[in-house]
Amino acid sequence: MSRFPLFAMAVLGLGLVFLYVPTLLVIATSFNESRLAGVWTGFSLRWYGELLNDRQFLNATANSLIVAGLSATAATALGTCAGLVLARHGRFRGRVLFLGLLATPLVLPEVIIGLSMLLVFVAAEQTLGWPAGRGIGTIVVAHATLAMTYIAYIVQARLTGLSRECEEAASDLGASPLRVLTAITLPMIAPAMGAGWLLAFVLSLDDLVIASFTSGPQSTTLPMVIFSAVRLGVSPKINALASVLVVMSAVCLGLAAWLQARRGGKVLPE
Amino acid sequence: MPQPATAIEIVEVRKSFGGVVAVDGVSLAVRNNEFLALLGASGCGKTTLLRLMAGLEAVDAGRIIIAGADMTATPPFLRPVNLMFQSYALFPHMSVAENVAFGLKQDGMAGAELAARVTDALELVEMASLAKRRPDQLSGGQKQRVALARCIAKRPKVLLLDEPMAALDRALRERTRLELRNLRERLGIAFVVVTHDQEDAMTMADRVAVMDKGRVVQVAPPRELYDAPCSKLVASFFGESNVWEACVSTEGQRVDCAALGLSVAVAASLPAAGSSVAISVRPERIEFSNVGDNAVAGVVEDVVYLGTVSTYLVRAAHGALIRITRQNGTHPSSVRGDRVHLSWPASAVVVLTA
Ligand SMILES: Nc1ncnc2c1ncn2[C@@H]1O[C@H](COP(=O)(O)OP(=O)(O)O)[C@@H](O)[C@H]1O
Ligand SMILES: [Mg+2]
Repeated sequence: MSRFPLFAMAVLGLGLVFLYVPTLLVIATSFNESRLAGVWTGFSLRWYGELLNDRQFLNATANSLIVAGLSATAATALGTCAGLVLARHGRFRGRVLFLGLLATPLVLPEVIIGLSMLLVFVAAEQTLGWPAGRGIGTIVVAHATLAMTYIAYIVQARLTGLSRECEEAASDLGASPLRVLTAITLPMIAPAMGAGWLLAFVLSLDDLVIASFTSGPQSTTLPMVIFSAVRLGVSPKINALASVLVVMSAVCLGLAAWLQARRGGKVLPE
Repeated sequence: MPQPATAIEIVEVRKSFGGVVAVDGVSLAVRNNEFLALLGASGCGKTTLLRLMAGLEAVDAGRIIIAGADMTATPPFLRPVNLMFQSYALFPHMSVAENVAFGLKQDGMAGAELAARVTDALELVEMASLAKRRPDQLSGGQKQRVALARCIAKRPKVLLLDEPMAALDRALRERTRLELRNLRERLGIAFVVVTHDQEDAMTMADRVAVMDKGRVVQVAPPRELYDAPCSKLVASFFGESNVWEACVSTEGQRVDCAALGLSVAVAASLPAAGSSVAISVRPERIEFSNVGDNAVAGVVEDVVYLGTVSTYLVRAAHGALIRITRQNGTHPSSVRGDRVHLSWPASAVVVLTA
């Protein structure tokens, strides 16, 4: 063994420490009995118990899960359509423009996306009468718009790696284009769609900025609760709350990675 | 309505991809019940022609008539032909039985009838016992059988097979050739089989269409292709042959061949005197003798023993290398360095004008 891998390992280790130790600290302190962050007085589930009696927390959790579930589902439907068009409809006119438009939300600052969404919703309310005020529905629309981009790329990558011959064989065996889509294409890309759904779910679950712009008074999400609570000072309860969010996200991402790995797909195009 | 005589007819079909011409004005008629082989080197457009017949590619020009109906613009799912892909293209998320049932379900078949047809098709290819397996649990030969069953279950008018033997080992290949022939007889439908292997084509097909650079150069029964190839390319495809350049002589029924130093007597009809042609003589038509329509002297350069036959390479006085195949034991065998006389009849000379 040369010294170089050792050095590389040290750098890598340091990087990982910076990445994960703060999060692990939050999770560890959430089990601390003491109200003071710096003093460990013993293991306790006290703060989790308090969370369960906190109406605001329960509401926010429900909101977050509903928003994430609905927006991930809508994003998967829309993103799959976009991915199918990109991978299976050859070089149509405006393909490059379409790709560019799809990619824009990935590079646009979240603040800008949130602000522009808010402006659109307000304008739509004034001219069309919909949406009547902001709430769960508007966050869902905003999150779905952003997440469908990711799903389009995931589905496109999966389809590009998949030979067309199965679809051609189905067509040759008498299946109409719609039947080919439902009986062959969609089942074959189902793992990628599942992974995409989970990714969209996590994106929505973790989002603070866009949700803040597009939410209404009755639709506070978990990250918003954490953010506003922290401004009043860090309490162990917030640590427990943050831990819940971290664990939910980690489970979803792990599941997504597993789904992708099963059939050798990629999470994002390279 | 009387059954049309051709199962599928292709008229002046062209197809190019970008600048690459894959199929360049092909006309071909496959008769009912016929076993036709499409033979040609890799990249000559065989797969493309098959995909055009199945409707998976659209023609640039020309027409495709299937069972008497013009289907040039008909989408693949409405054509009464089925294509077996070289990769087999089995549906990975379905069992063997579900793969075979897929095509039948598209016709609205269900219940006991569907089950019976699936079992029938799987029994024909001896795969009924593995009906519940997934494609990734099958060997290459088994996948090929499932792909075949999936096509024949639909009872198409024409079955198109793209290199069905390419992925099989030698023993399995030979067995599959015979099985495909038998299957065609039992089903009574036309088969079009793509292959780059002349042995496949010779042993299976009623007729062979030889392709070169996107064109069909000759369509004939295997025997005729062997005995009377129309070009050097076709002659070289079918077994060993002696091919020499020659020039049609002013004397009737003769060509002058410089390499042999001989005015060769020919039985076949010849083009105008002075035109340059190639002549081909099969090694087994040449004898060790000095009497015959055409005779030359030479020296044995090499002898290759091949069991029942031996191949002799004889250098003629004017430089041509002549290949002769003789049955072992029917004549006193020559050895390297022997001076020998060779002769062959005028009827053994095939004239190649292209
Ligand atoms: N989808 C395609 N796009 C571009 N070129 C193609 C395509 N399919 C075939 N070709 C080209 O057409 C020619 C004939 O190909 P193919 O029909 O596959 O030949 P074969 O089956 O005889 O090996 C080749 O030069 C090949 O590169
Ligand atoms: Mg091919």
